[in-house]
Amino acid sequence: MNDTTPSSNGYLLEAVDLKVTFRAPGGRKLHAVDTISIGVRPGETVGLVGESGSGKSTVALTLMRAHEPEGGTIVFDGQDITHFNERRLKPIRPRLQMVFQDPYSSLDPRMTVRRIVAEPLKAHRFGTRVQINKRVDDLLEQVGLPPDAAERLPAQFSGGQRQRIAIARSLALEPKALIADEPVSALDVSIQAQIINLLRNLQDRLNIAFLVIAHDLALIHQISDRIVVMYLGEAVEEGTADDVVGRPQHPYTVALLSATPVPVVGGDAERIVLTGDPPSPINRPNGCRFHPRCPVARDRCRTDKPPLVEIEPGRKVACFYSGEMPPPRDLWAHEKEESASTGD
Amino acid sequence: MTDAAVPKASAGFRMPRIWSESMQLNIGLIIFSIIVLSLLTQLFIIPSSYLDGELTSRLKPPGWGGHVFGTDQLGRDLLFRVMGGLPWSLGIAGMSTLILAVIGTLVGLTGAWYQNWIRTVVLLAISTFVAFPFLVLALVMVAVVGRGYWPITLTLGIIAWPAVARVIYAEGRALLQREYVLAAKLFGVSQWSILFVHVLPGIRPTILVMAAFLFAVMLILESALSFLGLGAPLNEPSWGNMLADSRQYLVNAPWMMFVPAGAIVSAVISLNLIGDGIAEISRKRARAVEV
Repeated sequence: MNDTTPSSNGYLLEAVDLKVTFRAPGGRKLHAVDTISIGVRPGETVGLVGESGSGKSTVALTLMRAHEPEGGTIVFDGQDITHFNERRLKPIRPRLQMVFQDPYSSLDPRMTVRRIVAEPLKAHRFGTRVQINKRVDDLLEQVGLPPDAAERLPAQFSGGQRQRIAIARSLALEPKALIADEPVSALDVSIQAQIINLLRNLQDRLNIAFLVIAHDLALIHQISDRIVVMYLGEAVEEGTADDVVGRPQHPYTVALLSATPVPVVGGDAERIVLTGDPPSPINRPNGCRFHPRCPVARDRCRTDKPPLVEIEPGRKVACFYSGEMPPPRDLWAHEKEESASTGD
Repeated sequence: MTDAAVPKASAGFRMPRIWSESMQLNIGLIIFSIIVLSLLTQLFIIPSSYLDGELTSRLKPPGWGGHVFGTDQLGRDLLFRVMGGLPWSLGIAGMSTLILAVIGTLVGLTGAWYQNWIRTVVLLAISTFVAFPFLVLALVMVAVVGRGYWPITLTLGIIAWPAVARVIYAEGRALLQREYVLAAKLFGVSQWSILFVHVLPGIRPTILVMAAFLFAVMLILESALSFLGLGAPLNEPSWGNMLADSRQYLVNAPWMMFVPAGAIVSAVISLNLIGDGIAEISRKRARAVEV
């Protein structure tokens, strides 16, 4: 179970040119995800960020093979699982798990915590009842729940505790890759940090390939090694977390950053406020998908679609004018100073 | 862990113990068990000749000569007859409820489970059946299939399942769209486990409540069929038959009408109370369980 065969580029879970469309009323196509490539290496955290409706969750569910991709391939652990049926997916499932956004709807309200956490164990014939019970107790301890939690119902827990239960369930089978779809967006801000820290600690300890999906760039920056920014089903920027946040090259990333509250006194930088809603994925604009809302769009952006080009190794941007970005304010400057001063 | 003091709740919906928190359910169960007990009594205690009457004691009022509920136009004891009618009235209603609950649940869940043409077929079948009024459909089917215990049981069971199927379809579909079902699927839980672990416990209260109410409806339907002469054979003591007999003696021997009518009414009321009680309890439990 610990033997993983990453592909040549080291990815444990990889999507290549993933494309997902849904049928919209009137026979039109809704392009939820349009040729996205994303890969996660063991022990690495990749953040997928974008606003609501950008197709982040669709990417997650397609990687989990809950949606059928229209094009592209999904490779997990050296196997092309794009067209696996449920029977062939079954041995994959224990190694590829997911944490859902809403800990209120992702736990069956009629089941005790013990039964909820034991469900994947039973499905994969983990062992005897005694072994399963012991594993459940271990897991609950790992995620920081009291021992008596096992016999209670989800309704008796707060949102943060429920998400811990959901995380315990996801970790039950010791996955090699974990996808977390907005793991904290349904929680109180005060609880978010706890859950994020829990996920980070567990990942460090278990060396999981971790794909986190969120709309909050600050949060993604905090936990990710690399970040992929999505807009309207397409990747617009990709790079290391510090690069994307510190030197954003796509106007959309700049806009996302300037929407993040500034954690600095007097840090009142110039803001780019996006106007309007994201366009409909059924009826997408020609050229660059972002041009109707882009502050620096020119004529060319209305007709030609900028490809995602690698401007530096591991750094990709889909913008014709990425070199001309307005200089972003360094949002996390104070953090860097702090960590530098503490020698971290 | 501020909620550590919250008392341990039972997991999910359980069939209530004999004395439950719902007074309606308690009363309903008491009445219903009296009725069922008397069914058992008549099977063992009542002389096999209860169907024979004495023409010398025709149309006697309740209490006359040891006849607690009086006698009918052929001098037959009404208490024995109303008890002897249990296999016909309550038995047929119960069996047909079982049949319709099973068919309705299977069909409803099938429609909820599949998203392809099977769902279309199921919904079409339900709509087609629902379009016919119960009694009219029952009359036609009995006319075709013929009378007798099993033909009537099957007829009642088969005409009423769409009522269950429609509700189970809607509830099952809502349950299957819950995120925890998707989660279970993505954890590699098999379809049968999802069905038995997540879906069936979720719809169990609904099935029980609908079964209790439809039991009462079936009881009335069977009585109506017998009343119209399409149910039990004329010499069999079905409650509907007895009501039909009483029409000619309404003025001279009103007890002939009150006895079977009282039996039907009390059975129907007890079943409705049971249904309401189960609904009340499952609502309370759901409130304790959902957030």
